[in-house]
Order: sequence, then structure tokens, then C-alpha cells
Amino acid sequence: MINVNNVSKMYGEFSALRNVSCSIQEGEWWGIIGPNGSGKSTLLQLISGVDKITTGELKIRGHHVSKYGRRELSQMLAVLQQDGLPAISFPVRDIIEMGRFPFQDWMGRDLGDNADTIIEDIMNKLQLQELGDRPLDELSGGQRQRVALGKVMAQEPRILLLDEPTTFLDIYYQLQFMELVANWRKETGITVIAVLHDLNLAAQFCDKLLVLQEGEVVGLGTPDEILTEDNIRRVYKVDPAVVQHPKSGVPQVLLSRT
Amino acid sequence: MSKKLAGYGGLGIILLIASFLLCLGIGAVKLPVMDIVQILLHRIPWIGDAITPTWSPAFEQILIKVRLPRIILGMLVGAALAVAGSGFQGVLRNPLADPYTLGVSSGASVGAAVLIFFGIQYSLVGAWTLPLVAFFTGILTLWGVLSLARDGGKIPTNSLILSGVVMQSFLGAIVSFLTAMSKGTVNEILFWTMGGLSFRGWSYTLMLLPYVLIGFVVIWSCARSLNILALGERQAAHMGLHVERLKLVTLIVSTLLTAAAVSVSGVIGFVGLVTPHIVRLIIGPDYRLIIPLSAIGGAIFTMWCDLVARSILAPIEIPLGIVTAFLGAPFFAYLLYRNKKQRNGGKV
Repeated sequence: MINVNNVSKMYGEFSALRNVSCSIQEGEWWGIIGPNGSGKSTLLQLISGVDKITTGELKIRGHHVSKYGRRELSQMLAVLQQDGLPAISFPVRDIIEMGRFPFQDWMGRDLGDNADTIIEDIMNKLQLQELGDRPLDELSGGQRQRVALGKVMAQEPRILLLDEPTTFLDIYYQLQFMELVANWRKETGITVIAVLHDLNLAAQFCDKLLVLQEGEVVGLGTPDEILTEDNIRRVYKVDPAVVQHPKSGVPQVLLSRT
Repeated sequence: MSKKLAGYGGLGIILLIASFLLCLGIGAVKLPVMDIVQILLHRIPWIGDAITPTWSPAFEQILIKVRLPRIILGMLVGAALAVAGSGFQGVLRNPLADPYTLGVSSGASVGAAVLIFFGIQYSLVGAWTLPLVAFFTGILTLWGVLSLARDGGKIPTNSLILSGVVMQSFLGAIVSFLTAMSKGTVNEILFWTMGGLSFRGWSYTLMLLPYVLIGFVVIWSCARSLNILALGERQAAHMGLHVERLKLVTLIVSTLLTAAAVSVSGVIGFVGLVTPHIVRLIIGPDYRLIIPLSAIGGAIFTMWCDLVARSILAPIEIPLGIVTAFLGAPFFAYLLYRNKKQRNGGKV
């Protein structure tokens, strides 16, 4: 689905990514982890096609990402950023409808003929019906991030890129958000690539983890392979204790004081 | 959306027609509304034949030769400035942007003033020279203001206003200098700095019309994209929007609208600020509605301001730009105050 081959990215003299390679299969959920400034978001921006790669090649469905038109790409790939949506006063329903933008002609008509049903389904699924006419800037952070998710769902992508989507949420909304994405993936088989700070959430939801450090890949594998005490000590410079989750058995990271 | 547009649009058009008839009637000579309607209908082919003239020919002369061109010109200028204002606000995502506060109007007036100073306003391409040159100096000004205000890819409100003020005072000084230096053309240049609609006649109206129509259609067709842009540039790009292209088109067309308005009526400030704001307060942030309703609102606002300008101290006429500034500047201050309040979480 997505092939990243020896990709590097320079911002002027600064090298943000060096020789990154990975191959992401359709339907997989990948987590990108690593310390601040390790190039996680940069990699996501490159896959999204908004930033251009400096060297190497990046292919989505066999075609170079730079060969796709903006609109063509956005019909296939959606991005959700950590700050989600700005505090604008559009009503919730209008914002979800904005997700249909890549499928609308210049008059604003939807090229698919069931856009209204799509939007109603999403509103139901995300329990946004009652908030439909409320302006976005009156909602709480958790509700707002749910609207942001609704907007990318309306975009009906095959690939979903998440950039630290749960950063500003409390644990209830963090979990709710991740479960909503997981359900969406189960129903439609979309590919998910998520930059995550929370290693414990990453371990519970992702099939594969890609570890970046100073712009280079330093680890790639299942959460069981990646989340070991040695790896975390090396990459994050902290002293962790890794235990098994008592219910699911996936690795969970506890931090120790120095 | 379309229901809302039909509802508010209908209401706006009723208001527009009512204001139009009222403003036509009020003046040194009062014209009865019934006469106005009959004279106007009489001019329309087919319908006109059914109406027999019962009014005095003097009334008809005043209406057709004096008031009608002036009022229609006012409507066009107001609509142009309001649409340009909503375009600037949308693309800069800044509610305080407007042709006047951005300095674009002053920029355009410098071009106009230079041409008039040297008496070459009909050289190059005839009657199109003035709007074209005004457009180029306007867009140069916009470029200057935006590059002054830009701070790491973003344009903060405060620095935008500051750069606008700096540019305006500088350009204003140029125009004042030209005014001071010129002899025969003093009044004509001075006119540009204060703005007005007197003695313009049909030729100006007809010249402005195509700019306003085309500009309006282009900006309105960008409305959906401007809504997406409200989500932020990066997010808009992720949704398949050509952000740079949209910014370029909207800025150029808004500047063109401003320059066209300035070259027929001089600098009329704040129309492009006040109108979209009031529209936004009533119907919300959707540019698909803001743009057409601002066009109607700008026309109504300018028409009323011009009525005040020509009748409140009659027979002395106040320059229109002064009337709009009397109304607009306090409104601008109020918006700044409210902005500050919002940023400080309700406290001033």
C-alpha cells in the first residue's frame, strides 16, 4: 500500500529524516514513536504529500506520491492533526460536511449520490446528533476531536494519518478516540498510521511500531518486539519497567524515578 | 444553506430596493416614490409602453441624469468594497482585514493621484488606464503590507494593522504632497483622498459594472474553498485544496475590485470592514452566505452613507469617505476591543 524507500528530508541545512524505509500493507495499523524532534511528524507530512521529499522515493499504491494531484490524493488519504480543529464558529454538521470537499465539483455538488446518508451515519456513529447545530467553538476538547474524526470519516479515505491525536484529551476521551478509530478500521479495513506519544496506547492498538530517533529508523516490529526495557532506555533515555498488561498481555511501560 | 441564502437574500434584496427608492426620492428636490417607480418602469421596454407619463419632465431629468447614476454607482462601489473586504478577511483569516485597513485603497489612490497630477489619466488604454494603474499600485501596496506583517509564515492581527497604518500614512503623504504641488487639479486629487460620488455620471457606472460583476462571481465561487481554509492552511491542503492558488486568486481579485472602486470614487474606508462583520454576526461564518449578503449589505450601507453625505448639511456636501469613517472607525475600535476581550477570556 505504502512503500517508503530510503527517504530523506532536509529543511535547509537541517536534516529532519535520513534514509527511512518501511513498507506498510493495506489494513495495518502502524504507530510511529520516538522522542520529540525525531522526525515523526515530518514522516507523516511526507506521506500526506503536503511536504516534498528531498531524496528517495515514496509510493502509495504503486505510484509516486508527488504524481498524485492534491484532490486525487485527498480522496484516498486523510490527515488528523493533534490540534484537530481551530475554534471556528461553524456548526458541527457543516464541519463534517466539509470532509466531502474532495468529492465536490466547483458548484459544491457531491459526486457521490449518497453524501447525506454518509454524513448522517457518521453523526450517529460518533454520537454527534445532538451537537449537530452547535457551533464548534462552544464544544469541549474531547467533543471537538470527535468532530475532527467525523470530518475525516466523511472524506472516506483508504489511508488515515493521525498526528498525536490524543495529546490534548483526558484519559476517557483518549480511549474513546482510539476505540472509534479501531471500530472504523474494523468496518472498512482502512490503513492507519499514527504518530503517538503514549507508548501504552500504541502497544494496545498498533500492529506494528516504527521507532525514530534523530531522523533515523532505530526499530521496526510488533509492540512485543519493540517495547523492551533496553530499547526504551536507549531511545528515550529513561529507566522504564516493562510489564505485561494483566488483561491483554501486551507490553506496558512503567516509568521509574532516577 | 440554500434555504438560508434564499431567506436572507430575499430580505436583503427587499431592503436594497426600499433603500434605493427612498434614496432616489430624498434630496434638494423631493421626488414622490410613486413617480420614481413609474419613471423607472417607463424606461423598461415592453412594460414601459403601458404607462402614460403623468410626472413633470424636470423630475425625470433629475432622476435619470443626476440621482440614478449616483445611487447606482454608490451601490456598485459599496458592493465592490464589501466583497473585496470579505475576500481579504477570508483569505487572511483575519476579521480586521479590509481594503482600507490593509492600505490597498491608499495604494490605489496613489496611482490615481500620480496620473491625475501629470494629466495622463486617459493615456495608454483610455478610460481603462486609471483602474489598471490603481490596481498595480494597490497590489504593490498589498504585497508590501503583507511582507511587513508576515511573521514566520503567519500574519498576526496586530502586526497586520500596524503595517497597514504605516503604509497608509506613507502613501497618504505622497498624495498630500501631490495635492500641495499641483495647481489646477487640486480639487480632483483631493477628491480621491476623501472619496465621493458627486458628478460622476453614467460613464463611470458603466466602467465599474464589469469589474464588480466578474469580481463578485470569482470571489463567490471561492466561498466553499474559503470555508475550508478557515480550518487552517495545512488542514485545507490535506483536504485537497490548492491553498496558494486560492490565496493568489482571492487577493488579486479583491485588490482589483478595490482598485476599480477607488478609481471611480476615491478612498472610501471601512465599508469592507463593517459590512461583512454585521453579516457574519447575523448569519454565521459561512462564506457561501457572507459574500453575496455582504455585496447587498455593502450596497445598502454605501447608499445610506451617501444620502447622509449629500443631504444632512445640504447644500454643502460632506465627502462620502468622511461619513463612512465617522461610522466605521468607532466600529473598528469596538471590534479591536472585542477581540482583546476574547483573547483575555472575557476580561478587558
